[in-house]
Amino acid sequence: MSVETLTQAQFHEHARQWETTTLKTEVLLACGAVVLSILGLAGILPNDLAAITVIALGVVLGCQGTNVVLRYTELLYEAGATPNPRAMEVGRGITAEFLGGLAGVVLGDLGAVTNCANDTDVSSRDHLWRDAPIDE
Amino acid sequence: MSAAVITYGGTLLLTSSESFLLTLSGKENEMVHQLMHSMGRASASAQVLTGIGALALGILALVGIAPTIMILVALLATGTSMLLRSSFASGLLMDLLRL
Repeated sequence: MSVETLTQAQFHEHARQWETTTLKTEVLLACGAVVLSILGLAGILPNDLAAITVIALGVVLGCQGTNVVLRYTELLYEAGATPNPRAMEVGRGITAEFLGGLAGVVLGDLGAVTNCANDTDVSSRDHLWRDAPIDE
Repeated sequence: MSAAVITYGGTLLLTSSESFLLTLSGKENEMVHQLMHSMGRASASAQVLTGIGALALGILALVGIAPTIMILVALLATGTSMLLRSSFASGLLMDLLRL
């Protein structure tokens, strides 16, 4: 098995491609979240759309964290700098973004599952009600 | 869901300084530096306001005051803030303004 080593130029090209991908994903998901929340406010499946929007915004936060990591790594490399208080500040923000995004995705999933469970519960109750004998 | 909204509000508050710090690290002339400084401060302030709004709406939803509406409004505000914060969207907006 051969191991290929990346040159700095290849690494930066790779990082730039990742940055473009995360930026496009971020914009698409944020647009989707805005549209879905407006649809929810208009009264179209508000609970389900809120859960989907929460998941989408969680992914957006994760993408933003990745994007900041890539950009800040590039800046640090260009400057040849050692860690400083400003780097610590941005690092804390990145951690908060990742944690917030992860928590949002998990909570959105839980909300969607709860909505589905409630819908299933209601529909099964309706089914039982429909099948029940009339004189009972 | 309201817990997620509160989480997003807190995250927006915590990460509001990121864009400001990243704009400070360039090596431009004084005019561009001042312009970027003021733009960074404006965007950070807007993000702080959105975060506080999302926190307040999430707490109101958690208390039980029209929870669905509160959550959807908070998500709309958070989504718009994230969309405007994205550098891809801001680049597109700058291009449109230049035209």
